Amino acid sequence: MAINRLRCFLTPLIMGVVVLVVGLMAGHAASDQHAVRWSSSLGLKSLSDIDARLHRPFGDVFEGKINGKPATVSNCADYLEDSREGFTATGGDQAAIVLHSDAITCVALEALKTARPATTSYLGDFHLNSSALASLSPQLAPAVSDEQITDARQAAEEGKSWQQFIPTARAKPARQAGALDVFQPNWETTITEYGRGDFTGDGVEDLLVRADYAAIKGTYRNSRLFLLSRKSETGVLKVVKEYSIR
Amino acid sequence: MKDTAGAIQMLETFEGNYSHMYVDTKGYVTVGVGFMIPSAVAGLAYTFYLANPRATHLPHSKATHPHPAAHVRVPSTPPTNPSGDKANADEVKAEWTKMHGKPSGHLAGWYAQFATMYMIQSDIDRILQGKINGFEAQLTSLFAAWDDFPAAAQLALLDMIYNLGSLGGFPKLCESARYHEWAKCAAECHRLGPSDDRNNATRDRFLAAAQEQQPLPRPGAHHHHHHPAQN
Repeated sequence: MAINRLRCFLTPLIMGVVVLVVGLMAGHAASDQHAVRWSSSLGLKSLSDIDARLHRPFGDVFEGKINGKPATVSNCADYLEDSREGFTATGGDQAAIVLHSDAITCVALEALKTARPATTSYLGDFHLNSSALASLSPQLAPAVSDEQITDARQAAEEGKSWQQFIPTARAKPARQAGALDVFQPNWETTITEYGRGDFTGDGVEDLLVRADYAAIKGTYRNSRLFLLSRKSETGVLKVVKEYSIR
Repeated sequence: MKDTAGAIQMLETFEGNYSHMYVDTKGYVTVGVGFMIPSAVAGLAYTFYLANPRATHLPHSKATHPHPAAHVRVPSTPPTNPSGDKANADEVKAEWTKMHGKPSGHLAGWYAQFATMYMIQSDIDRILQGKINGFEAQLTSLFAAWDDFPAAAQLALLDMIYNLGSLGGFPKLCESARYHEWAKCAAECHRLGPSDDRNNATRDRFLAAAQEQQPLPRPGAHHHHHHPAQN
């Protein structure tokens, strides 16, 4: 009898703790139907941590210039402020590529600040798995020239997926969770899910993804940040926005 | 290449020139002028020198004392002469494995704190020359008149293919180059990703080529009102 009473008391308590812990581990805010969620790779415990995260040092100090005057950038807050004033990194392409890679994270964090819980979601059970290319926009495929950008945009307008645009492309889950490696001739791309939520204010859940590109036979490295969404649970995820990163 | 020295200088300027292994933003271990090392075994294609003389392993000290080279900072700028022992296969593979485990997304110089071996400049230049030769062979097969291209145009195209691995993303530019339409190449050469400095340098090389060489007439050019060859 006493044991049963204790069990009745402890069970809801344990369940409550489990729900709380699972919620925190998943990285989502509040208890809305389509709450804002984010990747653990962003290094956030909660959305209220974003400002502190923006001030966390990169680990490198980037030297550059603003309007010809020397300047340095050492964290996201610096970058977001200085890039608006025209900061350009010195130190060659390697420094520019590394800063650009960091900048993608900075802009994603800033975007996440504007995200709100969505009232509707058409993302369904979409995940970055080996069949995801059939649901991703061709605009996420590697593009190094205006011609390739135009071709990808046209394919997107025709409703094609990345898989239909580049039939030879193959995908497999990346080493890190929530990411996909995509292989096509001369190119390796990693798509990383950064967050989910309503980023545009239309009530529909969007998907924030980062794309990292490498030319296997060359030295080219680049990163881009996209906001994706769709208006049905089975269609191709279209690019709602590509963030401009200086 | 009409200007081999210029090619080496150009690539070292834009790609960087690092004597030690580092990790690029995509997680690939790299050395020299953007030489990707895809695996530990692939590292054996390069000659490395230990920053410190190889440790003499005394039976009683082996387990308790770290390798002295673990505390040596290898310079990013390649030394011109070797000052240490040549690293053996196991040491090179261990260095690659260690670097591969480091986080990506740092400046190349950041990885110097973990490096225990380095390449010398003459070896880097020799490998770079080999890569330039390989890309030039591709460019020769793409452009029958490659040898007639102005030196500035050759440099611009080399920079693009060394960076991109292929000119497949630039079909219009390739067609313009076949007709020596260097001013059009200047307008079509912009790469999405590389710095403005690098893109501007490529554009300026094509513009310099346009000053040196006139375009060839395209087949059916008489149908056009203002073909460059007719100007």
